[in-house]
Amino acid sequence: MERILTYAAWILGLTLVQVLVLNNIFLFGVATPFLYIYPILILNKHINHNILMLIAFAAGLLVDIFSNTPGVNAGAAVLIAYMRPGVLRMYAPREEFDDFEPSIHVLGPMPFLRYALTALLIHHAAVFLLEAFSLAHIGYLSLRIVCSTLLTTMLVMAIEFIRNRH
Amino acid sequence: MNSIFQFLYKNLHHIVFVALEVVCFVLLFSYNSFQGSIYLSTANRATARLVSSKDRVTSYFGLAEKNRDLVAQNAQLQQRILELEAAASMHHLDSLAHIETMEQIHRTGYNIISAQVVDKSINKTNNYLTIDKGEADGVKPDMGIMGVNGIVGVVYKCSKHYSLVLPILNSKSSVSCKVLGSDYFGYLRWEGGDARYAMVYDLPRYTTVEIGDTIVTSGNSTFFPSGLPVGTVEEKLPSTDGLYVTLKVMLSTEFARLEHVFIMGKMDAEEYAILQESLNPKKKKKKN
Repeated sequence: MERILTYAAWILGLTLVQVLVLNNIFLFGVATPFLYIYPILILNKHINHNILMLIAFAAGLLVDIFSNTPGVNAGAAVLIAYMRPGVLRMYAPREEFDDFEPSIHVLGPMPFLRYALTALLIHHAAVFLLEAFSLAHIGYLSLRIVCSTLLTTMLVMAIEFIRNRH
Repeated sequence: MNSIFQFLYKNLHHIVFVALEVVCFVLLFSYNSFQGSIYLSTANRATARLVSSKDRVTSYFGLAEKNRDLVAQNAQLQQRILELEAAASMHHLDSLAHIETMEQIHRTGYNIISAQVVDKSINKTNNYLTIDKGEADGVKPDMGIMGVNGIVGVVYKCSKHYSLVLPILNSKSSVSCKVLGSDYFGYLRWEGGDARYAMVYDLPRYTTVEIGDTIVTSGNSTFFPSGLPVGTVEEKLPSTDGLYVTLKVMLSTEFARLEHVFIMGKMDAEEYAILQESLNPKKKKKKN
């Protein structure tokens, strides 16, 4: 129960931070971080897959409502929630751990970085492609996807290091 | 039968995934139409409250610059009053001319409502603004929006107290405009990227235009009266077919620090008809 509340607080808190602060960031004219997806990455590995997707949908839709982009963030968040077990399997061999929450503490800094980078790249690519819905400026779009992914990854790693410093 | 349920249960997450994505795509596409719901935007009451409370905090930043802009605009308006007064005094004794001038003013008759920008984005391909005036204040979709320095966009959807604006910085926006002093029309579009620049397309190749020329609205649409500043020419590019020139325009409106806007409502069609009638004594007599 306590864990559920913690997660709910993470999701609501980061959604607020996303819509009030991060949505306004446009670093060097290319990078916008999408940190609201972080709780989806760190939820327990053995959470019901359907529930994970529903949580992602809700969080994404909430961000969408505040960004005037209905469907964009929700779609991208559901996609990453759907693909998470696969991505996690790539970086965390199944036999080693059975029940864990992905973090640098459990996975180690490098595997977690790779896991976060992969997942965030998928999510950011989906967000930017759905939002633009055209490949007319594919060069600029790719630049935005890569730079934004790097920025979000940096923020995620920073939060991870702060949470796991003991 | 049992095996069907088992199959469904085993593949439930695929089904949930597809179902949720379908919902997302429905939202994505239905929103693109004008009939889309206002509830899933920053113009609905709850979200607008939150974003405007953020705006109350952030609007204090950069007050000096805003004041400077307002003072500059005041000066311009003062200048305009003097010019108009001079023009009016010339027509003072000529009642016929007076009626004509009145008619001209009312023909381009726009009501001005001032509003505050409570939320905006500039980093997407399709950006929107939210302003703090809605249906209750007389705002309707398709009204033009002007900032202190130039045009901003067009009202897209309205709730009771807030409206969503389709700014120039949206790939769906297109504004008819011309080079100041010429009569050739082109249209202004923005296709993502730098929020300070947009493109003017479809100007005939023989249009005489120099770098630094002013681009103004053409008055061809009901959104804007003619002659409102849009931007200045930054670069002249030939179009692919060689028939037109494309201009890179530096927008007059700085969207990154846009706070105050003016909504320009064209007076109602009925109102306009009545007005014209009252200005035309002949018709009035006939009716009486």
